[in-house]
Amino acid sequence: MAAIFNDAESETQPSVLSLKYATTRAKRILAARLPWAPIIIMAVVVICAIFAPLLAPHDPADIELSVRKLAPFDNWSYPLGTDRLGRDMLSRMIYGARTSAFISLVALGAGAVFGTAVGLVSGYAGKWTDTILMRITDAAMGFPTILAAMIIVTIMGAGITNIILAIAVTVWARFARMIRGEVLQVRNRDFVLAARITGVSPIMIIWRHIFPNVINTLLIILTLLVGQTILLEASLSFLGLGLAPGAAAWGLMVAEGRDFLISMWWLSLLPGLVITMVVMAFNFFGDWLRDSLDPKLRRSI
Amino acid sequence: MTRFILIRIVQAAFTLLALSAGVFFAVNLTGDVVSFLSSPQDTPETLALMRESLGLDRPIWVQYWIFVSNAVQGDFGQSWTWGRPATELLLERLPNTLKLAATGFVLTLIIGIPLGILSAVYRDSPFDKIAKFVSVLGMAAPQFWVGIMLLLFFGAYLNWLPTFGMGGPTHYIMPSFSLSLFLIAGMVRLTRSSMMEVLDSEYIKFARVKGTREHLIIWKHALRNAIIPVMTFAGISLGGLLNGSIVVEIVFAWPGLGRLMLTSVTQRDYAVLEATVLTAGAMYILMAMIVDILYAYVDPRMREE
Repeated sequence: MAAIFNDAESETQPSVLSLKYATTRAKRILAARLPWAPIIIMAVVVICAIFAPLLAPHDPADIELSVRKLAPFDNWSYPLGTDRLGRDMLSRMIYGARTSAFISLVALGAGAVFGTAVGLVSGYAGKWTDTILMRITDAAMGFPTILAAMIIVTIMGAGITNIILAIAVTVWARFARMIRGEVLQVRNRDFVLAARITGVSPIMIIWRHIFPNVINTLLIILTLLVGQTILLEASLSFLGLGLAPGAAAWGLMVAEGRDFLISMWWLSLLPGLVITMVVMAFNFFGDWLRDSLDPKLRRSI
Repeated sequence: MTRFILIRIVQAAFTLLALSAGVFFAVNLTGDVVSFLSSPQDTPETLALMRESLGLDRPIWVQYWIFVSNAVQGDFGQSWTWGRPATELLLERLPNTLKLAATGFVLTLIIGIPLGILSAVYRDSPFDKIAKFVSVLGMAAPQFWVGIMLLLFFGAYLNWLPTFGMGGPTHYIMPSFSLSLFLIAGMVRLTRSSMMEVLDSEYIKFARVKGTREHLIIWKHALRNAIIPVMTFAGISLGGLLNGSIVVEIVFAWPGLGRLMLTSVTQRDYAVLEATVLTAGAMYILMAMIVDILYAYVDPRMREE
């Protein structure tokens, strides 16, 4: 008995919060060359999102008809130009970062928590629970998000909460699938069996012994999905599902510029370019993180 | 195998039923239909009469049953905004979306797969770098923006291509390209990595040692093995086409299902909304089922459950 116990102790991962765990993880990340360009772009987005009111030179909703339709670089007080109502493009894009970051992070966070829980339970419980949960997961995974968003917006009306809900409703399935796959590889390892024999409750086994082993995967999926979530959020706001017209969101700005494509090309071009760059940065960073943390995953994600 | 197919069909039917219930109850329990149709001058008696004529005074379960039995017969009721049967509108628009999606799918295959293969064969060549750039860009650029930029450049600036609606073959170029760029990017990436993995394998090395000619190695030995994950991706991507076509149809004023769906959401045209959402959902469920069955046919391990 004692032998089993010792074995269990030695094989159990150190707590996620412990210093040792954090430093080995950090060392592993730093061992690979850091992708600076994506990191800088990501940092700029985060800073813009947090400090939007301090950074924006103008109020994003401020209508100033005397300076309407300014092209980029024409007037240095409006470096990226203005729209047909004289609203400052730069300020609107800085606030757009806030909208995009907020919606994406909350939706992704909610999806991650729910999906991870489903994945852990499904993988550990196996049998019927697993079959049913995975059927539901498959259905949710492929269901077109925009369709889901349309249904949700029709039922519950417009609003940021409903966009978040629409994204979360489909995104959780990806977490559930991947996490379940990881759990299957861990659940029959000796330290889990030992814990089970010594009478640890299933919930504690999942939390203390299995969850720490899937954190790597979780982090990787999370970063890889940020880009896709931003794209989704942009598409939904482009379609006008959820956000009020005039709100500062990148997708909505592209949509508003569409009617003035020839006279004011910058209205659609600039926000779209920003979306592309930001998504590219997150995709690159996610790929890099996956390759440096867990090259095995390359095939499955 | 027969049993597997039967189980999948039953599952698909239940999923569709669940979707129909979800959509029906969601729509009917949240919005009061009569309040959209009536004017402020209407007396309570008129409203009651309206309810009765629409069948809204009956219990919700009975209403759902009527809805399902009508839907099975292809009747989703009248569209309020168009004043025509929703099914008629649906049948008018559906082929247009299917044509667009099919063109996009063909583009994905004929551009994505060869680009991925060549990129893996000529690794690190300038060609490979270009293919990589295309795939990175395609994965990151929003579809609607790609469409709008194409419109700006080829439509408005160069005036080469028609900018909206359906018509001759040239009308398909920009919409199908903006629809498929994202999938082309994914296809290039996947074909490239799958092909590279196979090219590094032992049996390819053996074929080389044996002196097999290079083009035979690539097109016969390697491609056959690399194509399996690629076909899976092709199957999954059909769902993505459905998602993307809504956005692309809006950009190019394409008279398809997606645009009909969006207008029915904004106009709260319930009959059309139910008809389009259920059709799109049914298409998705059907495709997922076919992919599953094909997959089980190719790979017998998938049949066990």
